[in-house]
Amino acid sequence: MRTADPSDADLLGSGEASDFGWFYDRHLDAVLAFIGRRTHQPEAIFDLAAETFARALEHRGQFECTRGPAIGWLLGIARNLIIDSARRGRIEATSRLRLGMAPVDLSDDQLTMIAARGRVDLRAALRQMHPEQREAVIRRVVLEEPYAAIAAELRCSEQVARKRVSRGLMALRANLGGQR
Amino acid sequence: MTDPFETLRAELVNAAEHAATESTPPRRRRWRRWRAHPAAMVIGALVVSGSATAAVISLTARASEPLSGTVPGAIESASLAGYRYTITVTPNLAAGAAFWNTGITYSRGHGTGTGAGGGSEYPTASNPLFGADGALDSVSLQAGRRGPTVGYVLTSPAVAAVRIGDRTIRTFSSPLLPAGDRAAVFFLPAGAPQLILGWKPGEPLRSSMQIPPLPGRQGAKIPTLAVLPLDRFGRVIATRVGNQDGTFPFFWQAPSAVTPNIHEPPYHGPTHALPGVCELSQHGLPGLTPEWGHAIKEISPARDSVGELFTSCIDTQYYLHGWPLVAAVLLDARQPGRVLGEIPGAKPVSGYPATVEFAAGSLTARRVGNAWLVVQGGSGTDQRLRVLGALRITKLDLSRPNQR
Repeated sequence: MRTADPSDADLLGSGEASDFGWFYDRHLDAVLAFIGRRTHQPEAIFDLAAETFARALEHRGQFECTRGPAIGWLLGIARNLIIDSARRGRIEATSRLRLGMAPVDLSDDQLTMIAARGRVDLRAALRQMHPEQREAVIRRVVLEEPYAAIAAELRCSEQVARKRVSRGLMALRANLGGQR
Repeated sequence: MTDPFETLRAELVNAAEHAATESTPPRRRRWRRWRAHPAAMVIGALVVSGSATAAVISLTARASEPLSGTVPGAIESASLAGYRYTITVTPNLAAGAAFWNTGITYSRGHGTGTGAGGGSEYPTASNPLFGADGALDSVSLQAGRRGPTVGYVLTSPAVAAVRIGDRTIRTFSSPLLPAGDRAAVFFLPAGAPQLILGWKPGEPLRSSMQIPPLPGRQGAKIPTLAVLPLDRFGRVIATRVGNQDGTFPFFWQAPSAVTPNIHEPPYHGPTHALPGVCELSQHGLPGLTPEWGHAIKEISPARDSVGELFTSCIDTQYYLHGWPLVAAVLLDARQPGRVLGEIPGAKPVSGYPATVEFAAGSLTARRVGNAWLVVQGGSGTDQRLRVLGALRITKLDLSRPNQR
């Protein structure tokens, strides 16, 4: 029986199409905030978010919850895409193409809407977090430090470091949701 | 305005559906053209400040309008322009038949109007369009002469877009639609031809239908235009209309029933609910009076259906304090007895376990085993909940399905 609030691992591992929609709803704001900090171009924000989730869909079988929360994995995908886009000069669409996803043509009003959603203040959301959680999240998600290194730096066990990142990301998601 | 992130969500869920059913990745569509972004990305703290001057993507297909929105155009009399429209999909409750009722409601201020829709078919692999409305119905035929109207068509999961004349409109999925099914919604200009489904190769796309003259009304010749379903590669899906007869429902009517057909001959049929594969009973709600209904003696599974589909095995019209309510038992149409999917658009009712409400369809339902016990109509949610609480499914015999 499905719990009322299934874990990200459950949603990614179920193979149910609707579960991926649930996963998308859960993390879209955080992904937009992450991307929106790096570009203000609404078309780029939309395409990066689309390709991030398409890549997550394509590789959902590779997600391992033991290696960290799904939002960290997702933001890692987005980060790699942004770097790749800067190097190539265009945003990749390979996952969307492989999945047969239809393109979305955007009107001026929609571009305005995207720009507004990308302006969610990630720093403000981070400021609302507990300092220990904030540091753990930044080290893990932004700097991609291994949990062992984070634990050594924060002088706690690796298990505690994982918990701080996990709780921090949950708090971050809640903070971002509250900004809309 | 359609939320582009809702569109993206629909595309991702659709891709996930295909990923789950296909062993090989889908091929790239020939008509797709992704927009290439100029080198505009700067990493880290630097933020791109260039203007959003990238060209709008050029596609042969345009996005659908949403299931609810506002009819465009200048507001004038005898026009729907400026009206808010809402398209709803609810399960058919009539016993023995499996299909979805669809409808469109127009509202502005305190005024409302309702457009017909629906149909009595369900989607199959070879007949993937159902539940359409376009240009010709009691509301939009009159109003359509002055301004734009709303057209829509519901489709099976295989339909990626529909072609209407020179327009190609992408379909989308939604929690407000039966699981797996899709929809295309579009605006039709004043004087648009009547849209028709079921086009077959060799038939003209544009034709006309004759409306015969009636006493006091002249006949008319109405131009028609076929709606073509397209698969994900942009190919027309050839339509073959199959047989969807369902199961014969047996009618009964209580002596107390008041019917509008006062010129009918006196009723001499059964006066109480007949035995059938499904039976209902009631207790504890004085005033709840069964007036008429239908029962079936066997269930015909709709094995050729695609997408979520329910079938009703009993329907009963009740009256409570002057309010009519219909109760029905819904089963999975393809495989009766299997766990049922969600009712489109329905949301849980707080404090009532396993109970959902779809306000736009005036429908409240409770899960009973692998069936939905549904009550539709009445004065509102509170009354429907009271009726639901008083009803019991006393028989559900799935042992003798009709193999059609």
